[in-house]
Amino acid sequence: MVDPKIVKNERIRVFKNAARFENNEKIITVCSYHHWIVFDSNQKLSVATRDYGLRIKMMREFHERYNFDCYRDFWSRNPLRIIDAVGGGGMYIQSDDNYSSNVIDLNVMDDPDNDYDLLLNDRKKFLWTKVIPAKYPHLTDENAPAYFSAAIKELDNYNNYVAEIGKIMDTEYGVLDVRSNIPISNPFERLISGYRGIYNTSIDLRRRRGKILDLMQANVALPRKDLTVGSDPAKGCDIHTSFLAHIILSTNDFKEIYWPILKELYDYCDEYDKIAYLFIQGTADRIFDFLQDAPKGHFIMHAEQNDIREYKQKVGSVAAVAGGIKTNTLTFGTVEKNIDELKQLLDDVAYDGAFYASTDKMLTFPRDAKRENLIAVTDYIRNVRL
Amino acid sequence: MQNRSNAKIFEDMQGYENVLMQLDGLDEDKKTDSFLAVVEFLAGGTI
Repeated sequence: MVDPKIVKNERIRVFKNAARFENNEKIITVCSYHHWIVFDSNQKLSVATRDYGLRIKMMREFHERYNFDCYRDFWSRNPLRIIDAVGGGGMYIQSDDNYSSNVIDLNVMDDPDNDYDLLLNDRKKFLWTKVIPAKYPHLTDENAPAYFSAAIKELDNYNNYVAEIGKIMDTEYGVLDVRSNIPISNPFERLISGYRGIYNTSIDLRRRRGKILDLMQANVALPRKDLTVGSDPAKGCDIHTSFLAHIILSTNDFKEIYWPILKELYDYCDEYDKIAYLFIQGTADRIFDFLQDAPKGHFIMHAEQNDIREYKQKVGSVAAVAGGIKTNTLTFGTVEKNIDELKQLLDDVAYDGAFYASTDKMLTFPRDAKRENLIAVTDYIRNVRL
Repeated sequence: MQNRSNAKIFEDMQGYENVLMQLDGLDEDKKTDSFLAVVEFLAGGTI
């Protein structure tokens, strides 16, 4: 058995080479998954998400089956035991039948003009007086202390689980992840998913645009303290951030709301020689102009549902691209069709080495992949030499 | 608006302090930070 440290160092070398547009002979596979691991493991979602021992077992088996080089996440998601400990709630909906998790499009701001100001000026008070009572309506003066005490213990258990699975994947398998060393603030994402909901945020983009812009401008996206120049030698990349809420924005909205954060990220990575993994949910059609301004050799851009060839054409001169493997073919195609498509994909987008093989959407539902096809695809890429 | 708790503890930050004082079975040194961490967590996303 090869020493996991050697495996990891080789993966780091290839990962950084691809981001830097340096000579590369291999291709890194990036696993972008969600609940499909539960389906693939023949487990029940509501059980698997609550059993950390089972999660670790499933994660080990999943990795040994597909041997991805890098994961977007080591299944830190769905920490439902903490929600259970506080007595449920959280506006969370989980379905065992279709392997889905969703949250209600929640609006916690009953007095939006003042609530935006409260969020801007006293976030802790906003969370306590606005968000918690809306998300957990069953909490009372009497039951809250016991529920919060239990939830704190479960948060500790969760943090221990996350640390343990991270250590296993690192020390036993030499696998990379793209989690950030460096936190990034993007309040618009939280505004939609946690405070105001899609519907009301969409209205606010017209009626309270100034409040949203104040919120964005008050938050510096990246910390500038204690920074060192150069990419972390122990990781493939230094920063990972996701654009999820951008899909409701027009190009002009994006320019005002996201571009300042993206520009700061560009300048930061250029100045401090960092590597960032940018996951763009949905399509990036409306924001190509902004993506093309990235400093060359610092970004991996993963656009889920774009045609990877068009994506390569648009941003490939400055950024490495990730994605390209069609979940539709993984589900409905034969092994031969998957390999044929993969060969064409590599010819079209991996010619300069600045490519990471991943799926064109997060593996979530049963019809997102078939096991034998995913094994064939990951095996093939592992043995490819450019 | 969805239903929301009408507990008095959520009317202001005094309620926050009152709950903090009543937390049970936790390390005293870490209690303040742990409480804020769990409030942040519960207020955030869970998917």
